[in-house]
Amino acid sequence: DEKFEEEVQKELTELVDKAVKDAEAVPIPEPEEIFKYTYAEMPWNLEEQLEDLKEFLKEEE
Amino acid sequence: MAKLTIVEALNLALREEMERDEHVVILGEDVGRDGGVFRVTDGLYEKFGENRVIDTPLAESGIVGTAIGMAVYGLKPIAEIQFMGFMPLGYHQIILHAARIRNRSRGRFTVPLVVRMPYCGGIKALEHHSESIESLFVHIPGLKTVIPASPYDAKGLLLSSIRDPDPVIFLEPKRIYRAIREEVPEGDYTIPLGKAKIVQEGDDITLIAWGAMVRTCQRAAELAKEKNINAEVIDLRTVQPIDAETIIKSVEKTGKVLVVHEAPKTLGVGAEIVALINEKALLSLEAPVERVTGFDITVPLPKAEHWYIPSEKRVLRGIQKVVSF
Repeated sequence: DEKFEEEVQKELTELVDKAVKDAEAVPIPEPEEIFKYTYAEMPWNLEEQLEDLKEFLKEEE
Repeated sequence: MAKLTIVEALNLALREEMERDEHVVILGEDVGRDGGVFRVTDGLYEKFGENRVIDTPLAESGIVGTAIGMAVYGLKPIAEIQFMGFMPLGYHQIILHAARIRNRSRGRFTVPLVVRMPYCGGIKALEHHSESIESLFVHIPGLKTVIPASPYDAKGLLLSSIRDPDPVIFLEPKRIYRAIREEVPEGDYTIPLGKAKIVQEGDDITLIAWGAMVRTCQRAAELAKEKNINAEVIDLRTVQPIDAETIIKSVEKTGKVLVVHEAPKTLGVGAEIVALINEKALLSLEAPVERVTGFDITVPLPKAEHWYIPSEKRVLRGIQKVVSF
């Protein structure tokens, strides 16, 4: 019935809105985070690029 | 003259070519009644009907495979893959058939097909919507791969691609779909495939890029100018075949090169450019060719995407590294 549907719609919209807010509030990760799950163990090229990114970010400060 | 975005320029090109040549047909997901998720095929279904603008099922292998059959039988199909991230499902058809049918049939059957798709990142998307894997096409004999960086070029390159007798992969940098407006003429004009464009001239260093990275390089070049470095910026426009002649001429002039691309560093098209320069102009170099690229990781999700995609600051850093060698 219409009233039930309206209530469910409202409840779910609130749930989703909160989930979006929580997700957007997640802080920017450390640079390692975008590299470290590519492989079980980081090969030399990823390590080199991660070091270079960290250096670049330090230079930017 | 109207100032158009890349989306509008592509739409104009498609409309004019479909008027000009009744063999041209479009197929893909949501291209017809919806006009395309980015609006590139907007209005074409209404104008040309369901036999020429075809809404396909959600099946990239089928889309490309059907388009190949159409091309072999004399149509000029333009297959749209909705995002480059969806392309792998049709990759088999592209590399094992579209790219080989001319060779397999000793020229009796050919595949004048265009497969167009939005590519590259920077739109804070979810997974599968930010790919830059153009190397996977450049590496395959029999394919041409074209990447416009501006509205005027987008129309001219698309018209050339449609008329080209070989299968052409047409990659559209979605991040700048609507970011640039410039004058785009109505009526027929083409830009040849395999020909790069010197976007601005300079004597101190050559920057080589394509797609959305061209503007990034231009902005980095402005920053470099403040440090008294005059950069020449080359927009490759076609990544297969690469315009080696234009590149080498610039290398011989500046002696210093920086290649910029979003794709992961390892085996990005930049690697091929470095190899070419090594073979054809080593003694003109005053410093190793450097590359500013994406990392050898999956494109990060929105919170960290800005680290991955070469920024003008990262490009400037690369310029300074080469120039101070």
